[in-house]
Amino acid sequence: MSNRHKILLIEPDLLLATIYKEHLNAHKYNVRVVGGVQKAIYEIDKLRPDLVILELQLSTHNGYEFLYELRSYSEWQNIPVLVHSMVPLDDLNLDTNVSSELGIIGYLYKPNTSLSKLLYEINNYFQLALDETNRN
Amino acid sequence: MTSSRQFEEDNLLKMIIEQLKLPLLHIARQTALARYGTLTNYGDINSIAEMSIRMIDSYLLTKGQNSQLGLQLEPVSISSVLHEAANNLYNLAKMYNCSIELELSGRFAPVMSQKSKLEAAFTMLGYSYIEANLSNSLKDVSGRIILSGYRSSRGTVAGIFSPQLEISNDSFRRSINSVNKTRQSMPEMTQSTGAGIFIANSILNGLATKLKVAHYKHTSGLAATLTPSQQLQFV
Repeated sequence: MSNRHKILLIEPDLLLATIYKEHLNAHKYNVRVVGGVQKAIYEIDKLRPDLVILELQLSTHNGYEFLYELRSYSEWQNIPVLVHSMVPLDDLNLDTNVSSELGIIGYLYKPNTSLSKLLYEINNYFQLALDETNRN
Repeated sequence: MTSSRQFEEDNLLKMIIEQLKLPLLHIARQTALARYGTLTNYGDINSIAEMSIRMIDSYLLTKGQNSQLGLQLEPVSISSVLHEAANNLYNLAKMYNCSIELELSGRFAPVMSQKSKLEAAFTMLGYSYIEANLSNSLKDVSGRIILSGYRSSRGTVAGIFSPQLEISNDSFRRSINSVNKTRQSMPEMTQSTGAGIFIANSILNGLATKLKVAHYKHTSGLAATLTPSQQLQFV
């Protein structure tokens, strides 16, 4: 259990959150779900996730506010964030500079991202990270 | 139809199209999970689909309300309307870990309105409350939604309240004015477009009333004031 990658899923819709959690748990990820920014900051401190999956469209505080808050702590600078959002990429101001400044490793448009595609992207990320570690 | 009314309807339609992506996504992902054999709650899929159909039908009720020659009003029991709305919301609320409570203090005179439209308006409003992520706080609490009616000096106030959502007059007014100008018209309340609120308001406008911020037993919510039937209130 201890070698399972820890994922923090920030998903405001409870039903979708349950579905994604079920699917990723079934594929050996340790997934914790939160619905908003306040809880996310609290959980990051507790969980120390290997990856954060983030919906930018949240209530009260949006995903960008979360990202700026996250990166304001020195110990959380390197936690990778995968954006998985209902907001189409064209509607976001996510150029390469902003993405890299905020530690965003990828963007997935939620309506077009099947469960298998999401899993593939996450597996792929961890495989690349492992290869990188082995190279070093 | 006036161009401003047309513009309003077009904006509402765009909002609903955006909103309906969410239930369709639920259905698509739930059925995908069922294919993997992980989750097979077909009851949930049914409830989501039913509410989506209700949303489309409710939007259609807002169409062409101005083209009616006069409002065809009838005496309507508020208790019965809120009871029906609570029934319509029950399954979805359960899925979202929300409780639906019906609180009707005292007896109400019938109001002059249209039962089917009022029922649709309160169902849509309740839908927005359910998907508003009420438990988005540090404490793990279940959402609580109260459908309530009470008497005021101007008539019967009927609405939906929650102790977990504080809506201010200013933010609600801003939201009404920003329909379809931003992706989230009510970010203080919901992560989605909140189309249900605007459908409800549009239906209520057609019934010569509107949604306003109201308070009930230390909770805040959105409610409409409905005029009692003069002939029937003494019956």
